[in-house]
Amino acid sequence: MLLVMSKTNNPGVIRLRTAITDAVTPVLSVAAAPMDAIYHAGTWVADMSRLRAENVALKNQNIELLQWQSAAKQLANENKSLQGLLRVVPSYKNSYITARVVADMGGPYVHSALLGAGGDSGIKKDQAVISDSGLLGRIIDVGANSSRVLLLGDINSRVPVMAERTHEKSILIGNNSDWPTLSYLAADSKIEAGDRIVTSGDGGVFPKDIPVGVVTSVDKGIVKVQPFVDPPSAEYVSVIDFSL
Amino acid sequence: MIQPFRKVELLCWSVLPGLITTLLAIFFLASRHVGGLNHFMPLLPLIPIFYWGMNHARDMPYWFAFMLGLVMDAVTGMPMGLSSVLYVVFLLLIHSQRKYIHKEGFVIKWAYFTLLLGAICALNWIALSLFYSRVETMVPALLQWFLTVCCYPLLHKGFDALYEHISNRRWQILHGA
Repeated sequence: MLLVMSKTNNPGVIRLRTAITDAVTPVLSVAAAPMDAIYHAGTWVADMSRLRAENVALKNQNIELLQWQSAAKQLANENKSLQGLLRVVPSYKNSYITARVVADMGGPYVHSALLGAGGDSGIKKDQAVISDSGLLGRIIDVGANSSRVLLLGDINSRVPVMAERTHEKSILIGNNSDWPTLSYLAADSKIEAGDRIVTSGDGGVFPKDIPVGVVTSVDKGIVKVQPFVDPPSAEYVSVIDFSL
Repeated sequence: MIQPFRKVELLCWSVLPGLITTLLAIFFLASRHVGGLNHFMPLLPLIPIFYWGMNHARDMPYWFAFMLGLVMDAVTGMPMGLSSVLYVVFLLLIHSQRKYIHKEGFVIKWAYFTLLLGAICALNWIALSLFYSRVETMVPALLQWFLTVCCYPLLHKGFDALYEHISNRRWQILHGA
């Protein structure tokens, strides 16, 4: 009976689910702390072993970034003055809510994550969730102190995206694997492996230009994308309150 | 006549299997950062359910399996009630063969666990395919089944030691030794 009610998205079942996750989230939050510590200890050891090589790479990257910073400052000033001349009204403003990922698995058939913040912190359904490297997913369930994120890889995930290089728009569709695919591309699409994919902003759910992933292969019309965010490594995420 | 604090001790021993199962469920739910394993994490809570369902059925009641399944479904985002039904079916199948397997050695129990878990994973796959009206891939379920079967011996040995200790303590309390 519960299964049938679950299938029909019965509000009672949704309330039951959020009530249970609200109750369990503090326990999972405490349980996740030692596991995070173990993970960090492991990554610390690995980081130490490649410190020297990383230092050289970072110095080179720093020189390159300083050049980019100079170019960015110049463009920002130019943009500001042009916007002033044209009296441009900003199209949207974003605010962010930071939350901790307390559980990020749903088994082989559901790709979702549980956040330790919910409606009490201002999180609402359908808000975009990002980590430091890009889009993680969107909020699908909200409790008082917990919320669920549908990850990009889940078979129910649909995200309007575009290729940064060609500006071709498409929909990123999850397939319960780590490589979601692009759909609704034109037959003569010029997308190729290595192209960066960002959100297109269509539909008004996600802000424009959030990094999503990179095209890994284009084979017989199937375009696979490797998301920038590796869900298990996302410890803290930001939920975007995207106000049009 | 059993003294009150002995009664409390007996109660503690009887809730211990449930507590261990709950802790393993929490570990199952909270274990992150294990590259790629988060989708194929072994179904750890099913191991104590099998062990105690087989050895001391009273310590692993149906209502507990049902509630645990409900919590697992709520947290993992699976259809509500699916794991509850599967856990109860799992326990039913354990109890149905208990009188034949209870006294058998480790290898027979492990083999039966492997079979039962395979049946539960297959039922899960069928139910999810029906629920979402599409044929799901079986590879992750097979991997999860294999990893859980591999984890069984380790936990079985630990539970054996604990079960022996609990049985001894119970006997001592009940017989005033």
